[in-house]
Amino acid sequence: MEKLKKLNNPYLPAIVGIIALLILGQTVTSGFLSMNNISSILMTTAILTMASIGQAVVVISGDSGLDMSIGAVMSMTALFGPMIVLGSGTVSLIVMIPAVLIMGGCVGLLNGIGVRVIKIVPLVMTLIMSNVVNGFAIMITNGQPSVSVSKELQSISSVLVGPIRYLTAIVVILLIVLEIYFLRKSRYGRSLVLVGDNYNAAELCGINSQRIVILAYTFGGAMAGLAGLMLVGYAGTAQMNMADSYTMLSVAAVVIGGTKLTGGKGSFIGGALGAMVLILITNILQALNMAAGLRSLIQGIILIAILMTNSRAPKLRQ
Amino acid sequence: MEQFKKVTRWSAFPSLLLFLVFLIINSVITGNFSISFFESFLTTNAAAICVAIGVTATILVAGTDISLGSIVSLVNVVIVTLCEKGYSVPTAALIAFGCAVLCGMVNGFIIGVMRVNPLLTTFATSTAFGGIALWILPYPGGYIDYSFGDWYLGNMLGFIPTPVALILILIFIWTVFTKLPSGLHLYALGKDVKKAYASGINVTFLRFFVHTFAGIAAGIAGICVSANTCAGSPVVGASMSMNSIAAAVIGGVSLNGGIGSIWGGIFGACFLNILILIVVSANFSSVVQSFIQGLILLIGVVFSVIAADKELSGKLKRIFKGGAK
Repeated sequence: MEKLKKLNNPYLPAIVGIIALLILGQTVTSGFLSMNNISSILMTTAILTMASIGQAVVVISGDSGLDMSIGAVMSMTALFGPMIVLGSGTVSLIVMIPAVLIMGGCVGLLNGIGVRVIKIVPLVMTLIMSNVVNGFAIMITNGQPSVSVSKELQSISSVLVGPIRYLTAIVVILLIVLEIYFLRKSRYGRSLVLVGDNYNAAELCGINSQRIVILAYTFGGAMAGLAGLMLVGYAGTAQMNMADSYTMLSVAAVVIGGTKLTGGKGSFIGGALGAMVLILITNILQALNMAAGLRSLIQGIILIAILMTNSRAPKLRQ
Repeated sequence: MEQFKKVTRWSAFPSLLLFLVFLIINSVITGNFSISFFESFLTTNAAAICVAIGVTATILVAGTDISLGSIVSLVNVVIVTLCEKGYSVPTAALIAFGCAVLCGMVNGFIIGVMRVNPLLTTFATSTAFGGIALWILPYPGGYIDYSFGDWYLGNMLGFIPTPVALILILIFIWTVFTKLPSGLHLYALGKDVKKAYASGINVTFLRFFVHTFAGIAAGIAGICVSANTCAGSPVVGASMSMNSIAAAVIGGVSLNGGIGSIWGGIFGACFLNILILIVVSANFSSVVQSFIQGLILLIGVVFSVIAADKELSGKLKRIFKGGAK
């Protein structure tokens, strides 16, 4: 009984979902569990995981925090990142990473200021910001993206380290480091959870809540920026608004992973597991060769089912 | 003076002011200010206004609905497909309208009865509804008999233009509902769910009703779009959901619920669309347009939020009165 209780942790639905989907995938199409397919699933999961880490920080910061500009930021950095060309490909790749972090961070900073200083509701602020960012990307590229992705950038998603790809390994390490040393142990991470749980109480404890929340949005934007660079490295080409679907996918991943949308509770690893569930669903439906419309209908229904079992609000009568 | 103060304190006042100012700017730029301009403006934007009304209703009870755009697309697709299958236009429109109401009821059931977060629910249902639309009609195409367009451009009851009449029907339903005791319950629910529940308000029914109403609004919006374009596209409503939320916020509707009225949504939507019209007609190069639209949208929201925030606007006032602290 004790063990059962221990099992009832927030990750459980996601883990059960992943196992069920893997079995389903193997029965539907043979070769689903082949190493090649698994590593490509892990690859796309890694990109969504990056985005969901950014989303999770913003959601944890509380006050119905949400970052709807993640997709737009990813699309922007996917377009602008590869434009940096310096000397050799490796050098420009090294410059690209801080550059996309700064680009995303700037957008996140504006989001944070809008939400915390001007007090615009996060949903609206980030939504409008995504319009601005998308418009900005169109303006800079003249609406005709002509991005050539360098070999070095593409290699992060194709070179293998043992059985899995380079990028997946990096993301897994980054995920664990961020989870333990950023969210759980660092002074900032603890303040973030406290602020998300109760803004005023945190303020009374001497925490500068406003700064914490603004930093959370900045961090979220920076992570989205990095995810955009990964996406373009994986896809090999960049298009306008190529990452738009990542906004809501990251929200869904975070929720499936057990992070409460009311804030103050959550984890990055949960987001990663949620991302895996979503990617598996998409992958199985693609393997079945379904029409695009039917595919998104089934995705929607599965999502509703997950929501209805996983994140119902408690009854009002208590 | 009292009367004047009452008007300026109205939550929808900033958006009305913005709309009028930009209407004048537009007439100066294009030199076109007449009843016919206004009529054509309403004809093209009736759908956006209807969706804004629906979203505002859901926001008033501290929810949101981002699936309305997909419902609009679905209605459009259903009408086109049924017309091509040989149904008469009114039958097709009625069936499509029924679909929209059903979609609204699905939303209402999941949010009201199952108590799932409205944003996530409507995101999931928008994927599903959009999927159905894309499944029925994978590519833009098809056409509707032009009699539908003629009906839309004509008058109802002899003197009211059809788009206006359609919007008025929505406003009428909503006004009747808010004038009944249920209207008070609705605002109470938006302000504080727990207190509303403790006072014996039927929270489940109200949430269900509001989302069904949003479905009705999206259905009418879908009919407007179909009649205006007389063609089918599975993504015709894609941008509507987000724009309508922005419209509601510009209209002084608080996303925390309980503050604002549907007039705010209506004027907000009018303002947004006249803005788009100005940016289009001001001969900016097409690549800059969406950036400028986004920026002005941002400024509009910042302006209306600051105007509604008494503490912040008080601070600003003191600064403008000579920096006296």
